[in-house]
Amino acid sequence: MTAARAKGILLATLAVLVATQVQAHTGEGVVGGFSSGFLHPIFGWDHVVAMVAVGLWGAFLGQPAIWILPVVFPLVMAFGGALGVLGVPVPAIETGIALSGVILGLLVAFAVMAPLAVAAVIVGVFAIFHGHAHGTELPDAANPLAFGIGFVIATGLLHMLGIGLGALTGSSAGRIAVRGAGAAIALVGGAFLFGLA
Amino acid sequence: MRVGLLAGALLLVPAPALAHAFKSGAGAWEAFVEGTAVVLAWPPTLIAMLAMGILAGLWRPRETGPRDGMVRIWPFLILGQVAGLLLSAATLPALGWAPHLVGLLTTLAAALAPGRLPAMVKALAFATGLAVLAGALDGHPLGSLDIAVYAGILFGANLGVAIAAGLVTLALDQWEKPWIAIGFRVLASWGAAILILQSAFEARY
Repeated sequence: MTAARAKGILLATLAVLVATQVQAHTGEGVVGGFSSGFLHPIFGWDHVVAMVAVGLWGAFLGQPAIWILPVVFPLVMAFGGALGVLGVPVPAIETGIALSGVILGLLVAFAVMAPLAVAAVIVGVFAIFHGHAHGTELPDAANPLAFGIGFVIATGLLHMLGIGLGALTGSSAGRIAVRGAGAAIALVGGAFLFGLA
Repeated sequence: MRVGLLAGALLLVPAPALAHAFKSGAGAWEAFVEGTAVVLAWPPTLIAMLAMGILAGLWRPRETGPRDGMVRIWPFLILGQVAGLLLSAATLPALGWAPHLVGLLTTLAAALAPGRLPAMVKALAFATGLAVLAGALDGHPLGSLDIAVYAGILFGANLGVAIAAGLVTLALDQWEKPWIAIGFRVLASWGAAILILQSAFEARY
């Protein structure tokens, strides 16, 4: 990995970690709907760690999983979101979301090289839980389409962040760092699973 | 990237309801612009057209040349538009959903299997032309609108596909990197996700 690439990844990571000011807006209209949808996955750590883990695992699995997983996830997530919007109940949503962090984190931590189809199914199943949560929690005042566009784009950007960090797997030290990140993701998921977060 | 920004900006334009209300008594130019705006500002038709453009741009047939994807699908797109125009006379209740369904199939094809099945790409081009026209004219029987509105709709329906295909072709020619094509496939998958949600929102509200 070149120094310029490492610098780019570092800058992107810092930009994500910068604290944002509190907003009192209720998500009205197109702009409000978009920002509500965009911020919904980003302000929930249970969502963030799972999205990043998808990118990290894709980077570990290499081609073509590195881009197929981020293609599969938003598609199935939108299906889950549609179920949420239509009021179709899906059991154990919060458990499923927390479990996604645990399982995906462990898959990264142990660098599990699953077949592409298996990886796609695992990622797809968890995507339904995440999508359903976004669809159910759509604010009444928000422009629904703008909200949907916002959360699809935010999810995609989080995957890209994971893929960017996954580029570190090119070096042995980077592989250790990425696997460590996977373990941390599993711990965060576990904290949500057992009600500690 | 540019096509993504453009698509994003256009998608945020407030969407008209199904069975668009066309103004009467406007001049020919206003009617033309109104027709163009209907297909470019309604998310299902816009996404269906952009997805078709991405699919056409990513199809780079070896036998005739890598830039021929759009040229190869264009006759099928126009045939579909003519069929959609004629079908609007039937005023079938399901036509309003045609852009959602065809757009979803096209985005999925662009995201998962672009350029692998030429017959499928041509069939989707026909279906896109039909669905965009039929969806835009939903509730307006053939001949009930000013001729300039029809001209505007046809112009917009070709413009949306051609611009997207042109941008994809340009990007692939300019930067011969595999991630360019992957980026467009990811964009197509985002389009599919947005269409699924849009369908759910329309069904609910």
